[in-house]
Amino acid sequence: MPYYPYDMYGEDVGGEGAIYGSHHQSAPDATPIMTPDGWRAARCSELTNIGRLRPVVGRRERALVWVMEPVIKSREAAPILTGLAESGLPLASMTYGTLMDLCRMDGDLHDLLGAIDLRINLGGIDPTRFTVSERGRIMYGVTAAKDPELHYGLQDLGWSIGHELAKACEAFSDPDVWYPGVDEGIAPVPDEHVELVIAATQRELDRELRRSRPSAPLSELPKRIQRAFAERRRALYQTWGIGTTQWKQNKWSLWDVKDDPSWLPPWLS
Amino acid sequence: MPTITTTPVTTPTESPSTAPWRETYTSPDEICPQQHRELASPDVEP
Repeated sequence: MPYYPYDMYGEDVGGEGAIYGSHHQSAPDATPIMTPDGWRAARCSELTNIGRLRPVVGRRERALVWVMEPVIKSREAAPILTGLAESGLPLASMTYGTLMDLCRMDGDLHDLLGAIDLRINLGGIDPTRFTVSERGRIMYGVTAAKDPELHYGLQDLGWSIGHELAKACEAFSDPDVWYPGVDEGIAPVPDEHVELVIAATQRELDRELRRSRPSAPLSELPKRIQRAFAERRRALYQTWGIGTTQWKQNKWSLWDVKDDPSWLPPWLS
Repeated sequence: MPTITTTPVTTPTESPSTAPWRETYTSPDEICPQQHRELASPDVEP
């Protein structure tokens, strides 16, 4: 059985295998690309998640699907949805096109999607305090404590960073691999921060359950590769509208996600 | 009769710290199959 850590993602729409991949990952199938028009016509009740290999187009559109369960169906959203139902717009019969149009309008739904938790699953710890700024505070190896994770709506950001890490690791077999950093559009990344990012990423690799196989030793990557990965990570966060301010406040906004209805994840291109 | 001494023969092995990392990854599912949203390390500033 595929590994699904969250029950609400237990059903994989499209029959393409595990959301989180692993040894049950199916090869990319012939599922037609869901275009923006197709996405707008899809019913919210039928499209509840997007497997990593499902070709649904649109960065913000994909994020809205991912926030459907945790945000739209949250306690805070309940009175909003009740009001919509009473006015003849029940969520169960809504299409994503209708939902997105409603959400774009100034109002409670718009505000709800404009302030979503960034770090989640912290076991009750105040997420605004759960930050690490020093490499010495990174705990390596498998620990019982759960490290914070991105909100479900940022699934594509998580996959994108993993995609970048896989590319960076090509340097193990080819130290001269073409993997440039980001020269423009982001604030410069200090050397200390590169080390911190590598240490934190290593922490997560070490926690992965890969049948006792060791995790990739990221500190052994060429320094230019480590730096490029850290810079690309910063650029990716920025693409999803998350900078230092959002990180400190522990909030992200669907409306700050770079709007690109034609965006198809690079691992599907 | 002369005493014959033998020296144990040891096969040189690469130490873990010097052996090149041989795994390759064609997708995030191979390097990190489960914890993509944790791999982003949101406790560390972008």
